[in-house]
Amino acid sequence: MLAATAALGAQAQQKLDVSRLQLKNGLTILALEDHTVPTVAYYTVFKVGSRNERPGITGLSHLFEHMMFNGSAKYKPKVFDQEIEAGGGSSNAFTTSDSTEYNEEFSSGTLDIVLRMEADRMRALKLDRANIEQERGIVSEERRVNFDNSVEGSMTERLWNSAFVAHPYRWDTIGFMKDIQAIRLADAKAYFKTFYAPNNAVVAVVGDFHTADLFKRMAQYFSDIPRGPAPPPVVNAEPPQLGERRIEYHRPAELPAVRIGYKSISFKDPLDPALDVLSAILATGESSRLYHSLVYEKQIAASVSASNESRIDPGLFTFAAQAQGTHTAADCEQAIYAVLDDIKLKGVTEREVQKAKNGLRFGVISGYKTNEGRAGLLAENDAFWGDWKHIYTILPKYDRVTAAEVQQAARKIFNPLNRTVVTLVPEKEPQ
Amino acid sequence: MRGTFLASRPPSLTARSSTGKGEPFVPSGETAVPYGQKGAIAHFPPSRLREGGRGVRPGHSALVCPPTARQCRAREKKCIGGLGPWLLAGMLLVMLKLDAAAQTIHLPPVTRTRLANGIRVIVMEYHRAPTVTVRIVFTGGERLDPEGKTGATALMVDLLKRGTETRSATQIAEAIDYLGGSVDTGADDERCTAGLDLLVKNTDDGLDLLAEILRHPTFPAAELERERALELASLQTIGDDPGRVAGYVLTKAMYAGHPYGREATQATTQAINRDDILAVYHAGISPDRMTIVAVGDFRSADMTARLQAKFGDWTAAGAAPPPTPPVPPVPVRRILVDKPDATQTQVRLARTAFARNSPDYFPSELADTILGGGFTSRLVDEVRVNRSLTYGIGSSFSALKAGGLFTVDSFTKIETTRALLDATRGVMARTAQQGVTEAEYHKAQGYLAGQFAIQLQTPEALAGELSSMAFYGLPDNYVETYLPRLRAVALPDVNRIAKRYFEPNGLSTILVGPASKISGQLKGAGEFEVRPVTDVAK
Repeated sequence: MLAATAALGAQAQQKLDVSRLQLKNGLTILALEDHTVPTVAYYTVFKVGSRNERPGITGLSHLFEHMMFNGSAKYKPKVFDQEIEAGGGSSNAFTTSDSTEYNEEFSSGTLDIVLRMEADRMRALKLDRANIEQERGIVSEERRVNFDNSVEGSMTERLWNSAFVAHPYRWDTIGFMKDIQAIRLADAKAYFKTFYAPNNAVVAVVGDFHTADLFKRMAQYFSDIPRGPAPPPVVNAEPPQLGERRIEYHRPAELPAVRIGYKSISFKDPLDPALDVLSAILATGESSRLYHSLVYEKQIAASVSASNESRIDPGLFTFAAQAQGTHTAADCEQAIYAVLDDIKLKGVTEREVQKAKNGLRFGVISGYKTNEGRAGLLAENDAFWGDWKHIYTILPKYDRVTAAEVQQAARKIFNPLNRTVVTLVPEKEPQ
Repeated sequence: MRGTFLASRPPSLTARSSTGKGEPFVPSGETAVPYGQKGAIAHFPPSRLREGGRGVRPGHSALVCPPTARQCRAREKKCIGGLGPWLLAGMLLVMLKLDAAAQTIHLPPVTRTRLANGIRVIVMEYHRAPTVTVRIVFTGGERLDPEGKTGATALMVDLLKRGTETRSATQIAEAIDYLGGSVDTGADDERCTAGLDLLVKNTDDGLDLLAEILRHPTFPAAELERERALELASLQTIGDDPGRVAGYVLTKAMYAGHPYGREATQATTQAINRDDILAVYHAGISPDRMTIVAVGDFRSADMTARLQAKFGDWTAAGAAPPPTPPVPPVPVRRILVDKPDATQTQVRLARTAFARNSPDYFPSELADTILGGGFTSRLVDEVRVNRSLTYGIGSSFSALKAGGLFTVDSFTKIETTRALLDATRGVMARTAQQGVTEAEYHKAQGYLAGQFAIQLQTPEALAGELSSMAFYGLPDNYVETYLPRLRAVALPDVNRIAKRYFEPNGLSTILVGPASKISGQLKGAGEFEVRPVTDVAK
């Protein structure tokens, strides 16, 4: 199994015909022709997210993402979406703590106008009061719907708020409401200058075009955008935790629930693939350790999940569970610890490791089915690992994970002194 | 939510009681996996459903992606991998070709056969990835639930995986998870469904499992109790999710007096016993009402032979279900669900519309796109972009076998509830009375044509489309003739739809939020019936 997979990876590396061009201003462009479907996916990763923010401007990265669609020097507001939708396409974007990513997919005939509009907004985004005020209102509603009025969203936000004291990961990418309301136009302008320079971006284009022609046009449209200074590095000032943190969260809700987060690692840590395998063993599918114990055997939880949330800087390994019947958050919490302790003590079986790898492999392969999926993978890997070819290493890394490594990872990460716990206390009335 | 490992129940293939009935909301904890189309006209590319960011559709944005690093960071890592040679091989094949000049779509060949026991088999080769997708549909579905036992079919399809003549629930779960991918069951108003998405090398094991759970389930009593408890927990927490409340109340109100309007409650879920489960199994799962669609990296003849081997000797027992009565029109309803702690009002406007086979279907796709689809629609432009009243607003027609709804959904902070209602109704009234422009008409034509092709890239989407075509009795060349049908819709057809369905005076209104702060804003907006959120789904 292992040898066969390694061979597959090596073979593929020679065969995927991605061309890479870096302009003098630092913009990286990746191109993968595929004439199967007459569409083009255009994907941009800017290497900036909420980890680049500071108190007072939390949420700026995401607010800015919205502002990118509201016009630039040559194209009036609304034109960007009108051109793409008339060309049968659609556009969207999302922001994370570590990146801001834009994606469009449209009929191939629309490519030239998209390139022109993309270049223009990277060069000269329209940054005025009307733009920021418009998006401030919209983003406030986004925060209300996804966080303030969502039990899940607000619990997750509180977990990260409490687990970190110094690192920007302590605030969610959406930002605090009062910061969203207070961010100034000057903040947005400075942000654009610092982080939206071509040397801080990677573009991947996948689909029905000719590479030589694409590179010619992009050189023509993008080359005169000035390079920016290197963005200031983010200082990870997070001190060691050295003790469990417990938070109660009171709000109207029907059933108790719990969120748990253990201080974890960077996704560049060699242990990261083992944590993905561990996360699958713990909570992917009904045969997983946590589902089988909490939901099926003991019937104390209605749902349980686990997630390896490693980031550029060390993130969290998180758990979530919702109680069922008359069971409590404490019941769920103790049952989760029992499962973790068992793995720390006795390890996992070879079959569990293989089962996890089977699921991970399917997920990896499924990511390549669409032009947009491939464009995202190429751009993200180049942005985060410096080389799109990193995509070839993922399956081999998973395949090399052993049961012993999984146990070692569990012992290292599931340390009660590095734990933060948020318990939902259901109330009848608003607090 | 690609990055989060959810150990709660895996999403059913049809997110039951979620899409389709005019409420594009996805209940928390469930993921809408495109499966057939349930008749809903979907403008939104899958990407908008998956990621957060600028998402316009309220339901989707609510669920999917708080634009946090967690999911997206994980997305970066977990979806990355080494490509096999298969990808390259696949790229050389012309799979789905859209000839822009001629505006035609060519699908790869589809093989349609019928087994001796009545099962329809529809097979398409897809060589772009080494995977197999199977979608099975049994006509019937939740509308066959016995009186007072709503939810029985939904429980039954979950229980298919909880015990067979040869395997326990635990053994089945282990077998499914070991295959990677998914093996799943589901139900909606008109269908029970089952399916799999696997690497093609696991096809035989997957089909064996599917055949076993469909043909030889045992419905152990202890498993029914487990499943009931989970369902009760889900119904109990509905009030925590304002969007879910709005969808639930809307479905019941707009389909009042019709099987589509029956939703499970805690009481009906408590009332279901094992005999009910057996009854809905025999009524719902039967080869004479079964269609299998398979799309994947196989040879068609080989796949058809395998399906014959797994299902060909299954004999029918049940009688054919009675036809669904047509959906009756309902009087205008105004309901305010009181959720005192909310800081935002969920808004739904709806009216009875048409069934999937209606001639209104195609002109409505265009009219609906212009009113409330994509980022350039009239509603998004006015209510979101010009007025900043919401993060998401959209309109949709859901067209089921026996009828359907037209729905607008949005949300706004409490203080601007009336402003959002007035702005939305204003846009609708103008569209109904003055019609749409030539430019909007052409843009919508281009948008829908492009989206149709973009969305058919994956085997899952192709299987869903083929399955949906068979279910609704659409012609075999439906995909190939989609663009000509769209082009055949003239501007006056679109305006006729706008006049008929967008006129705000006939719309029902569902609001979910704090009644004490909303009621004062509703002067002159008609009489609202106020209900406590705690009563929903009791």
